[in-house]
Parts: sequence; structure tokens; C-alpha cells
Amino acid sequence: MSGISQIRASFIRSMRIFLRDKAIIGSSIMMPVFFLIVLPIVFFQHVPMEFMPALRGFLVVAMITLLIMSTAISNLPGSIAADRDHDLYSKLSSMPVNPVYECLGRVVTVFVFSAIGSLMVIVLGLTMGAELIVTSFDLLLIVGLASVIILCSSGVGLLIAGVVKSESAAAHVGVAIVMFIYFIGIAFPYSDLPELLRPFVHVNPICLGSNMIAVLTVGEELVGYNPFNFTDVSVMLLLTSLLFIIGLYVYSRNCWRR
Amino acid sequence: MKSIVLDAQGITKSYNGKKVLDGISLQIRSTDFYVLMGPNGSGKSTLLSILAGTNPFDTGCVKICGDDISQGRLEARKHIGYVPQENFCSDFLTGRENLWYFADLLGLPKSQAKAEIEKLLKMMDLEDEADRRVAEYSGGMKKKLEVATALLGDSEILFLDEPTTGLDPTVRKDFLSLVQEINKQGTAVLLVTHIGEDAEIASRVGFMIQGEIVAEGSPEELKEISGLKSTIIVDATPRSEELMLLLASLSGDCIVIERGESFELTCEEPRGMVPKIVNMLQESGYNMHRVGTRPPSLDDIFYKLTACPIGGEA
Repeated sequence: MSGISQIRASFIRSMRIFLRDKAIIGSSIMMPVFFLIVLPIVFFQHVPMEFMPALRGFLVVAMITLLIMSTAISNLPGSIAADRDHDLYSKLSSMPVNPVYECLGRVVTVFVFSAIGSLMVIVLGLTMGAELIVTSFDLLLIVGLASVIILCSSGVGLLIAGVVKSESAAAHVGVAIVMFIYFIGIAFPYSDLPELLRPFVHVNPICLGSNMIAVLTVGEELVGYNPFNFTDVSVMLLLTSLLFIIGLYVYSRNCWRR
Repeated sequence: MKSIVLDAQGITKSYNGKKVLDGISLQIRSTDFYVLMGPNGSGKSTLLSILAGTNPFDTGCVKICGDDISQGRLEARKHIGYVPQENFCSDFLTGRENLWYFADLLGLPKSQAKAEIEKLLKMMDLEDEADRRVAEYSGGMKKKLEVATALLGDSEILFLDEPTTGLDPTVRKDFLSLVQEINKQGTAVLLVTHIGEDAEIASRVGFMIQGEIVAEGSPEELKEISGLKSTIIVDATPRSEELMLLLASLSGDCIVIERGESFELTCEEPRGMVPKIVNMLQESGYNMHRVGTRPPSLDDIFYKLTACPIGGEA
């Protein structure tokens, strides 16, 4: 009972902060929305019309992944670092509060905030002509895969929060990592990536999850390969679990003082 | 009934091989308003964070209401209300939302939480501001809100880490009266400060330097121990080190410190000193603005007993 109450308290608090902080809204939701509108105008001018719906669909998936990463890898550690700066963890450490429950509340925030942002991106994408063909079973699978991306990104975010102490540094490190992952495995279809960068996609759960969602929604042809194989799925699940557990451990150990 | 709320025995703590706390023992009863005074670096905030369970220690034992606080045990923490130096309440939340956050973390039932929050907002005189975001609060209001968060649930002891730093004199006085009122209502208080005025209303005061509590007692007892009768204030120009040395040379048992615009002399036997000082100032050609006396403050007593100015470094 007390664990649930701690998760809920932490979730409500950080959700309020995420929804009220203009910097978080701007970087997590407005940036993908902006790219969703602008990128087709800039890059898709010479694309044949028949490919446009699928390409826009791919862009929707990429923007959702960017949104999740930005929330979990940049804004989550940024908000944790801000709380650290303000000595919140000294206060929490003096209370009968379990760091794991408090942390889970923050991760639930990332889930809910990402879900709200993703819905906005999907609605906007569909309005702009994106084609996302999914069955009910696929939808469940997509939610599961998005959850894996959120868990993995949160793990990375918690690791950053545990290691980088200042608010601005934590957010900047997060942005750098987000950009790195985005341009190497998410922004462009796998088939368009240089040979040199392709192995990176196979060891990055976020890229794997994003590609799997893209295969389910816009088809294997556009992505350029099928990531639904034993190795990729195993690597994705294993690394996600590992990153999340390590992130949780580092956060509980370094941010909390007991 | 005066029960022991905090019992700390033989606390030691070292950072990088340097001993910060050296076998400190401290007992606080339910009726105590204990103020721990010490200069920067004396170890008082480290001690407070250890007693509040937020900082591990090397050796010793800390019990809050009989429960051992070591090894990260959560039971003892139910009775702790800790207010660290920084403003930890979120600026993005309202005062009421911040209180709900801490009430939920403590797992208080909804009806109890609501009743406690309303009571605390009233006590802190924050009712009208409760639904405004904390970003719009003044420093004093933020501190009051933080004290309110510390009083939620079963807090038996309130730990305050330099709570008056940055507050203007009027707000500081109001804040300390509020803490005194909380203490009268049955919550023990342990406040650390480097400001002597904060300790004037305490029931017990501890003087801390270099990781040790070197003197302890009520303000009256400490005054008695120090032997100080009064403090002489000398305001003369030009203010120089030479003048300070001249003042110090007038009597062997006088300690001279520069405070603001004037020099203050704390002497065990101040009788006859004022005429001596006036003569000296006239003979040496100083412009004398004021020479007077006042009762010794806890700052003076601290200096007398520790030979270390409270505003300096330990």
C-alpha cells in the first residue's frame, strides 16, 4: 500500500512539473511536432506521391521515438538534477521512502507523458496524410515495443541522472545522446544507412524497437530489413532490462543519500 | 513527560581521512528547543544530516524515539521532520500540491492528509497563498512551507539546517517565533545556525567547533560559565587595525572583534573600562562617535568560550 502511494506521489508531482515546464513541453513534444511538419516540406519534395503516405508514416514513428528519447534521456535526468540541486534528495532520504518506488513514479511519468505526446504526433501525422496500417494484435505489440523503448531510454536517463549532477549538464548530455541515437538509427531507414553504421542498430534497443514498430506500421520494404528475428529481439530485451536495472541502481545509490 | 526523542552516542565521521565529527554524543528530549551554534566548517550541518538519517557515519549510534537509524532503516524515519538548507519544494507546484506530495509519500490516509494539510497551512499563515505556485513565494514563505512538510505525519523531532539564512530580520524573528510555538506544542527542535540571535530563544544551546560540542547548556547557563557581564561597543574613526590593537591592550582579559561599523570588547570585568577607552581615544586623536555597553550576546559568549568567532571558519 505504501509502495503504491509513493509511486503515485512521485508520479503526480513529476507529471505536474512535466506539464507545467515550458522547456520540457517544448523539447519533448513541440520539437517532434515541428519536425513532423517541416521535414516533409524540406526533404520529401522530390518523392513520388505514391510513397508519401508510407514515408510520412515512417516519420511519425521516428518522431514518436524522438519524443520518448527526449523525455526520458534528456528531460528526466534534467528534472532529477534540478531536484538534486534543490536538496530534495536530502529531504527524501530523511523520510520512510523507498528510492525504487520514488523512481518508478518518475518512470510512470515518462510513460504517460510520452503517451500523450505520441497521441498528438499520431493525430497530426494522420491529418497530414501519414499511412499507418495496424491490426489490433499489431497495436498491442506496438504498445509493448514502445514500452521497451521507454524503459530503455529511462534506464539511460537514470544513468545520466546518477552520474551528472548539474541540471544543465544532465540535460545537455541527454540531448547529445538523443541526437546521436536519432541520427544513427532512427532518422533514416536501415537500408539508407552506411554499412559502417548498421551494426550499431543491432545493439541499440531503441533503434531496434523503433524499426520493429516501423515494420509493423509502414512495412518491411521501407525499413529495409526485418528486425523480428531471434537475435535482435533477444538483444533488445536483454539490453533494455540490463540498462533499466543499472539505471535504477545508479540512481538509487548516487542521487539518494543514506 | 520528558521522553528522549534523539539519542546519539559517539558519532564519528571522516571525509578523505580528515575527521569532521569526533565522537559526538547528544540527547534531545521531547520538550527541547536545542540550537547548535558553530562557525562554517565546524561540522554542524554534517552532524544534522547524520541525525536526520541522510548521511552515513563511521562509528556510533543514532536512535530516534528508540529506533536505530543506521543501515538505512525506514522505521526511525517516520519520526523525523527534516528541513535542509536549500528550498526543496518544487517551484512548479503550488504550496498545497507540495504538501500533498509529501503526505502521499508518507502514505497518510486521504482524510488525515487533508486535515493535516489544512491545519498546517493555517498554522504557517499560508492559507491564502496555498494555491499559488511556490515560484511566487518569498524566502520566508518557502521556509514556512518546508517546515510544514516536515511536520506531516508522526514527526517527533524537527531538524532545521540554518533556516534563517537569507531572511530579513523581521521575517527571521517571525519564523523563530513560529518554531518556538511548534516546540511548545510538543515537537522537539534541533536547529543549527551560525547566527547567535537564533539561539536566544532556545532552551538548550550547544557550541560546536572542529567536530566537537565544546560547551552546552541554557543561554543563561552558558552566560554564567563564560563569566561575561557585558559587551562594550566602540564606534570611533578612523577604524584601523591599530585601534583594534590599542583596545586589546587596555586589558589582558578583553577580546576585541570588529562587527559592522564598530568594535566590540567582551571582558570578564568591564567595570572601569569605559572611562579608560574614552581617555585612550581622546589621547590618541580618534573621533569618538559612541562608547557604550550592552548585555553579552550568544555570539560573544561563543567567542569567549571557544576563542573562535562565530562568523569565521572553524
